[in-house]
Amino acid sequence: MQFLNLPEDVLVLCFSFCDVGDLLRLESVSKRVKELICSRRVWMPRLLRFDAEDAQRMAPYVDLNTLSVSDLKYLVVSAHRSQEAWTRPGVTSISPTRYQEVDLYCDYKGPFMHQILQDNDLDEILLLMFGGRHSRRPVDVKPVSLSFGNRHEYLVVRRLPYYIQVAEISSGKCVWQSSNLDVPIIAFDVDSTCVDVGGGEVFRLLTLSLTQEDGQSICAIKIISFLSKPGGGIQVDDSSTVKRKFRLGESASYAALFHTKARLEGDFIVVSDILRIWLIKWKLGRCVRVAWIIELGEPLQIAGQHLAFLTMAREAADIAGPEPWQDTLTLTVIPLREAFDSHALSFVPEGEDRVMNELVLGVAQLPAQLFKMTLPKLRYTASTVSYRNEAWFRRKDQGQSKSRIEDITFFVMCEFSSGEDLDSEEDSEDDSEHRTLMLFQAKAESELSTSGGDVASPETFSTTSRSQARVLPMSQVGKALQVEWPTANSNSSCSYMSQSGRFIFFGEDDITYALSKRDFITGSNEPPVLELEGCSTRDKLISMNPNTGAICYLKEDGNTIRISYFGD
Amino acid sequence: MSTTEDKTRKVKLVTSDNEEFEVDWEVATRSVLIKHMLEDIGESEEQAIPLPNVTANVLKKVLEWCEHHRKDPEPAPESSDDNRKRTLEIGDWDAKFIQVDQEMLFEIILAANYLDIKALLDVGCKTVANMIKGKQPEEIRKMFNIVNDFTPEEEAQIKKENEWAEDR
Repeated sequence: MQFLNLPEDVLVLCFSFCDVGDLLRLESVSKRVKELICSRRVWMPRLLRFDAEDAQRMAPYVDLNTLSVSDLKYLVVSAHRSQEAWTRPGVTSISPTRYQEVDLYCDYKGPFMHQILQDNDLDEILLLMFGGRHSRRPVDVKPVSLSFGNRHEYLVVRRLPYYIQVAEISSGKCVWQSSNLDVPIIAFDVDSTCVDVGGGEVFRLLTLSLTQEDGQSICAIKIISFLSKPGGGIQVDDSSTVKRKFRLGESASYAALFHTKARLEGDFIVVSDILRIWLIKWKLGRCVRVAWIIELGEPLQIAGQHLAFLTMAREAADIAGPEPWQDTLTLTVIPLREAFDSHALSFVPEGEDRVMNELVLGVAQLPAQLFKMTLPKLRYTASTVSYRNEAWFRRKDQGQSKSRIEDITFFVMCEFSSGEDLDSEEDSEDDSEHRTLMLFQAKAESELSTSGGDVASPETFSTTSRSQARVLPMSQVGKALQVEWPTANSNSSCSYMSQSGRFIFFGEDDITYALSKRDFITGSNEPPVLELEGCSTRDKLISMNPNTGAICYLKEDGNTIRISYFGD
Repeated sequence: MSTTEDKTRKVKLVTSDNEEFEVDWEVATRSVLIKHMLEDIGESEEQAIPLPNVTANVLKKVLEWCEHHRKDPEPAPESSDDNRKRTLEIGDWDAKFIQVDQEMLFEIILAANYLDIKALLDVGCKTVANMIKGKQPEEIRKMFNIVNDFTPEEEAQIKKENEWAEDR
């Protein structure tokens, strides 16, 4: 009896106990062994056994059945490395497993400040750029979260004077630049999850440019499709670029524009400034302006066709106590499709070159789920909103019939400084010593008319009969974590959370720290905060790839972006 | 669910080389195949169960394993199989039990597969995985008597393809 005479099922079972390195070596043993190893039966179950946190590169909308064996193999190796890098007992820091660098100026063909000044007469913007706080952050970066394949990854970079380039990470080359006419680009975003993959679309870039028409501030939107190019790389078909315009209003000041943020996902764009939100269904040219009366919380997220944002309110306490009030954090989740569908007849269509007609609605007129969370009597410092799309992880158990919308879970991580109650006027001397971190989760419901099942009965948010909002509780994930904090008096330190559930903090000591959702669940005695090695204390953290967890830094020289991969 | 009557019941098994083994019902039914066959033939104690794919020396070894594990809980349902964590850990008794020559190891694996004894099959397959662990392709070929049918170019190509995945 020879090894290779064992039945195929048995051989595959033997290989299921081999580690990844052994499998890769087995491929070189013989053609028959290679044939057995390079099969879905070997790599698919192995991929599915990884926790979501480790299978970072697995984008939620990817249908596993469409992936090749080599894709599955790549994902397994990537998840395996990630697991090894992040789960070493007793380790207090992790090092990048590799990094790539992009030189910001090697292919720069954009305008310079004086051209912008001449061409656009934007004195006020220039003043703000050089004199305002925004000059401290000269570069914004959004990584394009491609789910797998490490040959072509991209960064979208915006830098002064508010000009955009798309750089290919592996070559460091600029592959696309925005038109000088679009500068200044006041906000931008990238969508690589809800694109027409079958049509060769790799990702979409949203740009918002500032223009003036008839004395009014107008925001010009472009949705640019990047298509895969035969032989590798990407290209833009200019004829497929969609343009829209919306009115920012007479009161829109340039200062306010610097707070403009934009999110793109699928058919929807969400734009926000300090006080307002615009919901745009860009393919149909429909625009809803939401009048907002409370300062909009940060940051704003769009996920699985839901818009989510945080607001904080101090409310009267229900019970008698030393403090007659209670701070409440509300996560508002608006299902975008339903928001547009419920007012479908009210939209007046306009041509692509015309400013879109706005439908102005109050928040109460929009369908919304309001997840409320009563904060503990600690000194609240900051919150970070993120989400995880669990489509893939559900799919393995429940088939593919589940709606995407049902699979979105929003997370809110709240930070509190050490143990002082909110009444204390004086700052405690040990404020910098400890932080309490609490993680909450809210599951977005697909149908507003149906109950969430495991949530409390909804109550009416507003007394107005038109209110379509429902109030639901948030649940805490695991336990609160106490972490020693090496930073002093930071107001907001949590910066990003990846789809996989890893948080990245930017400490005031210029060291980057990481924390995992798993730490909240296990309540591990190990130090939950890891120091991420590999960046100078003077480098600036600028972005985190939501899928891979790769971190982008602007290096101290100000000319180079470094992308550090941890376990990938 | 086994009854007290079942536990005292004896089962006859006949191997491919016509040797007959009489074992306790509880021992024999570690094999899902035998369990189903017993359910099919009902109460007939006299009827021997033919096992045409297992020789006597292999069955003897398999029954030794079944005897030791007669009180083990029922194996988990098939559906949860893919999701469970895979470890190479083998219990002390099992590790000693499976210290056999390669020929016997593969025969035990084959028999466990045929008789549908999941836990024994796992022990065998883990042993094979342990033998492979950390070895270079040439060492694996030598161990399992496998002929290298790749051309040098093909080997180089595989190495190149897997370069990105090698430890850095």
